[in-house]
Amino acid sequence: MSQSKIKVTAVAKAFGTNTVLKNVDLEVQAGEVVVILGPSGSGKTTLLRSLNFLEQPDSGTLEICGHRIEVVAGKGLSRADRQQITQLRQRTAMVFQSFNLFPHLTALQNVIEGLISVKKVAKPEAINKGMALLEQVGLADKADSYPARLSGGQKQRVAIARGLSMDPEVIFFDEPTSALDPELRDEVLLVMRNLANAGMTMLVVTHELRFAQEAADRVIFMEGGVVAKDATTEAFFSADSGERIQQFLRRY
Amino acid sequence: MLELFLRTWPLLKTAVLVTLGLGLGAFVLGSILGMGVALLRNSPLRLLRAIAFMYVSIFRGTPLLVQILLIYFGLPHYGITLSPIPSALLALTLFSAAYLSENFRSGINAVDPGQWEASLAMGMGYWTCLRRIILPQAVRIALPPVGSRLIALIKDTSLASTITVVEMTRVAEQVGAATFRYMEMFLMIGFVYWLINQVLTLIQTYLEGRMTRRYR
Repeated sequence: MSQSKIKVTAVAKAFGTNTVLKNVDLEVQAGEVVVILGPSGSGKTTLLRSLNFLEQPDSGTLEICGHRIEVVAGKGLSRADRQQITQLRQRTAMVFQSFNLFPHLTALQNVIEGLISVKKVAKPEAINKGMALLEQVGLADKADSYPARLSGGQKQRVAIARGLSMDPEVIFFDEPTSALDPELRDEVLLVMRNLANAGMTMLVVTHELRFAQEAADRVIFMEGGVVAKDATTEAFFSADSGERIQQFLRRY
Repeated sequence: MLELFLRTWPLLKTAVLVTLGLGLGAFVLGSILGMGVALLRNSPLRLLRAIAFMYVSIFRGTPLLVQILLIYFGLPHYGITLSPIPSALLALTLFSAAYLSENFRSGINAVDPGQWEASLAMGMGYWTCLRRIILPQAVRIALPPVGSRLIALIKDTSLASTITVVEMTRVAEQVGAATFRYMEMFLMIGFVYWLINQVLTLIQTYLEGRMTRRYR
């Protein structure tokens, strides 16, 4: 029986008068790779950021890696909720469009920062693990480089290694290749594809249709703050996926 | 001028130490207090923000000389009597903390919000994130204005002469009064202030270079 890593129901979020998420439901099973597509402003990034509470939903029930938080409209989060959030964040990782590497730390120090300051792993052990992860993303030779000396693609690969260091059960990718030029995209997508093949649970907001087609198990199409389509990759890219999807796909 | 310098050196030597002690002491204490005020100004609690705002408003909005005189001549009316040097140190600390808190706050706020997000997303707590991720970057941003503040503080210690603290300016006045060689005495200590601040500027430039190197 498959186990659900993410199960959210009726998640809503508004910025002022602008409603971005309208009671969104979403479920992701362990080992699944789910790509979220949709036009700009459809709420896909907000949904992703709601899952680890970088954006606090206005209401909804979220169960992420076994941590359940119920957000009631008009009510703040309790102390227990905040603890749940910190714990679920330690069991998930996020990769950002703008990398957000720590510029004052080397690539290796970036990767092991969470191990040392969050998981309290001893430094030699953290370094061993950090080096292995940099090896995995093909950047062992850049261990001592500061982010300013890395290309965009290299930065994003370090950021992925940094996420992996925490042994996450799910990785959230927020447009991980949107800030990269086409040549650098491939090296990042390759790393992501390897992760998908290795059975990592991934939720990916992206505009990379090819990645969706090749690596995703499921595609979610968002528009106007709702999930307009939730289908297997095969069904999504097939000719009978509906007029709106066809129209969206044609623009690429 | 050289013989005057050699003659006043024993007096001046102690006075230089008092000036440096007051300036650097108030800088260190003011930095600690200023960091506290800066964090309060970013607090989610409105009351704490208001307290910090008032603090900065009062101590930055009134002359340092008035603060020194209030502490030295005013507090004894309420039974708090401080000797000249502690009075001066207290005033300089409170005054510089107001300015430094603004330097620190702007430094912290200038760090990319993505740095907070990346830290929080891995389950890091507020204080750990502040200490390990945000402050190291904020310090680099705040270094130039903080360096200027330290230099200003060294010069501001001369105001302590008004409450009989025997620092450099006071010595120059005293020796000048005794010898009528005011011009030479004030030129002399003016040069020493300048020299101290040149050294501090060099240290600041060195630190700036060291901290900036990894960012390019």
